[in-house]
Amino acid sequence: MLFNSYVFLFVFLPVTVLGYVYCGRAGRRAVLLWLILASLTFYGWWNPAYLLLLVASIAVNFTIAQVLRTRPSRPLLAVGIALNLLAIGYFKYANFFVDGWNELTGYSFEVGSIVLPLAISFFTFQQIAYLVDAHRGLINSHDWLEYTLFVTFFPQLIAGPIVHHAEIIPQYPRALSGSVQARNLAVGSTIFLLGLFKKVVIADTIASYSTPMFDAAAGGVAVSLLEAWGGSLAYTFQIYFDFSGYSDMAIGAARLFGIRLPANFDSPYKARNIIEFWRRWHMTLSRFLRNYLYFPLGGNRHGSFRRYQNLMIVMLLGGLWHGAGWTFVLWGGLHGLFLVVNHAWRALFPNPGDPGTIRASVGDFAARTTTFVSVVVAWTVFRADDWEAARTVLKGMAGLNGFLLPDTFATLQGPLRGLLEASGGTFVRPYDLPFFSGLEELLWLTILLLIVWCMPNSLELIARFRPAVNWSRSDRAGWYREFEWRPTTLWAGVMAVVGMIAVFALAQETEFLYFQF
Amino acid sequence: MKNACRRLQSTQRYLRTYLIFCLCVSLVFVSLSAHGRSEGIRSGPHTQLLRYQQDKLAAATGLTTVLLGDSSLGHAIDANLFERLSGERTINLALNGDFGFAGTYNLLRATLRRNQVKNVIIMNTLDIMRRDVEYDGYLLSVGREGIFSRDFELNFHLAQRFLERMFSIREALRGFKMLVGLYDLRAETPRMVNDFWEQNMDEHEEVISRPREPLDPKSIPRHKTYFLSLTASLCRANGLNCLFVYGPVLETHCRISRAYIKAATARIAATGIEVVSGMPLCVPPTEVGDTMDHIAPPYKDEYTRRYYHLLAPKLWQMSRDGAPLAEPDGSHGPRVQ
Repeated sequence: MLFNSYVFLFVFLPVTVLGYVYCGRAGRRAVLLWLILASLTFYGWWNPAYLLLLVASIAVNFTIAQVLRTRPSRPLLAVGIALNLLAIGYFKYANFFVDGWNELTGYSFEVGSIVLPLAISFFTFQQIAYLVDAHRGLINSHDWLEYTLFVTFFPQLIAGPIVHHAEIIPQYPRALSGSVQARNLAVGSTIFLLGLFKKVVIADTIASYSTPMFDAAAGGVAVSLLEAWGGSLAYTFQIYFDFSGYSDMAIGAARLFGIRLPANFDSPYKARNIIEFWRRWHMTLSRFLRNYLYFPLGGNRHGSFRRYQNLMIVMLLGGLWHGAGWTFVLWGGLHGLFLVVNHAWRALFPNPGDPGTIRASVGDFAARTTTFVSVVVAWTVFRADDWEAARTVLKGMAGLNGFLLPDTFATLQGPLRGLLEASGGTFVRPYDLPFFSGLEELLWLTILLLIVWCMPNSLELIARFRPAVNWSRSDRAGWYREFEWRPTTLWAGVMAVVGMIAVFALAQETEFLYFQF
Repeated sequence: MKNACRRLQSTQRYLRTYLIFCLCVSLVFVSLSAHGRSEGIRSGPHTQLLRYQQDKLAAATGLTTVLLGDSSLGHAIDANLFERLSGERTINLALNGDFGFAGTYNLLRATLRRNQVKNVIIMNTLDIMRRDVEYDGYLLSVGREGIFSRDFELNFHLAQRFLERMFSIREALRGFKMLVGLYDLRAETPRMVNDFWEQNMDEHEEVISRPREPLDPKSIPRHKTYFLSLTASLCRANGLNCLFVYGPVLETHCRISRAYIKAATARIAATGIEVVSGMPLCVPPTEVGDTMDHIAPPYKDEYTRRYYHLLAPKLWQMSRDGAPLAEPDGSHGPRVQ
């Protein structure tokens, strides 16, 4: 079931909230059972057969964790982790590895077509973290129903945020009372609707500029400079608004039941370097990779070389986590390289200069632009169907496939015209530039760039009401503070317009990009 | 305690206000959609085309042959020439692909109310079979017969489409534009030339140079022939000679889609309507117009003749036992068997 579907919005969610209130009269356990039932229904909506894998995974992991909690054992932990990796390895990577093996050796093994169970990447990571913490003695006694809800809770089950038991399970005693608080309802619905707006109004609209260009590149069409940059920038915005919209909806839906999820995005395109980007993008994945992969590998404890090596390993595996394909590995490798360069730069030039000076402001802008462009280039590889398509788009972005301009631009007056003429571009008729939509596309991209660079994000707008478990208002300052969300008549009007535009834009359900991962 | 109580009250007031605002905004959006719809904005030029054909039908009497279909028909067959060739009163009621088989069904019902037609020729372009079932086309073209029928499934889909249109931000936006005078319906409507929409020949070069992918036989929706089956039932009930023929299509596209054509033909034939020739007329690039299935205006007469010769053996004709039909230019067409 998709968050952006009528059945979720008008049937599933209201019924689940009503059931939650009703079960509240029968006690905490009844609420727990109700939420688990609702979550399993939500998950089984796509394919009930997947439920078997999910339930089996929960049962095995909970059993191993119970043993590890009382008698820590490295071999047992290794078995637990191996079982999780085997499951994800079989369902997600079997074909990828077999194809690679066949190509290397010339054999022709086949494993047949394997359907990837939804959310396996997410619930596997959550449970691996639980096992490791059980082994480390960081887990108090948990009820099996609590554990089941921790894994299956529908707002975060399909595409995160990747929650940690220590931030979720302690909220249960209060959250499972079965009473819906007016404040949670107001805050939760506001975050949810902001997320829905980001997904259906922004991400789905901008997708129409990126998808045709990448499809054409996959078909061998040599896209020109404007087409390549237009499509890549559009995808950069699409994936951000799509995934952060989904995360907002997850955070908002969970808040209706009094549960705060962790934030997953913090205006990542405002980052001034790649290190900062990864602190702002898919924050719960970064946290998992840092705590359960980078630190166990040694982190930065054994000198610079080992640190860079560990960074590369983590980012390559992070890339592979996103999908069984070489473009994902390459994307991870690119980000690993960016991180290495960033750390090396910091080691060479530790003093960034005095803040507040013109030099610092120019440096700040240059740093932000460089980071953004690097991220766009990496997204191009990530989005492309294969390496050939990525190369075609990158060549286009470098201007190697020509610089064509729509002849409608020839009518422009003033300095812009002079600039276009001096650029050496060739004016052509619109059908010679089929993957660039002219001024309309430029306008969209400019507006979205201004939004991601200059506007507060959805959680910053609600910061007064602590929207996420790892979100604090006190360490943030900004011009927007006067405009933060409050339960006022003005905000009720604004949210009604935003929410209804989003609901009225639901006509066509589109999947979230991160569902495939 | 007092503060907490005040906060609770303000949040509850917020939720109440919010719900009232939501209701108001929804009402405004639905009203705008309804306004746009009542002005024919949703269908834009389609409504104009439908009205043009309905007016033509209302003025026609004694029809024997009716040509129904999409723009491939509108640009390929000249009804006057076809009439001269066949010797039977003929009318071309071509709509376009958005009306699809549903438009054909509704126009045939409208035709039968006033005319005792004998031949019904349905011509659609090749890729019609991979487009969605035309519930929208049905809603646009349904006439006095009423929107809903006794068919539960059809009613369900129509109600769903109707609600989707009313609760749509795009429709509301269009309605708003119409309200403030930013939407000129006439500006969107192409001129009528030689019985159908004028072509935009600026597109010709792009149409013939664009690379073509073969049509996928698996892309045909499961219920695609729903309205064609209703048309077939109508044909049987009224003893009509109903024939299906593909519209002309650019030869490069024609050649690479044989598997699709085979699958599509089988599905059409399964409705009970006879498919005349399993292949579309494949057109050289010089003879197509502004899309790959529109015949360029100078070739319309030639293709009318070609289609007539293709269809003639299957047509019901009063002159069946008479002399060979004469071409308007004096030459002789094929003898009707």
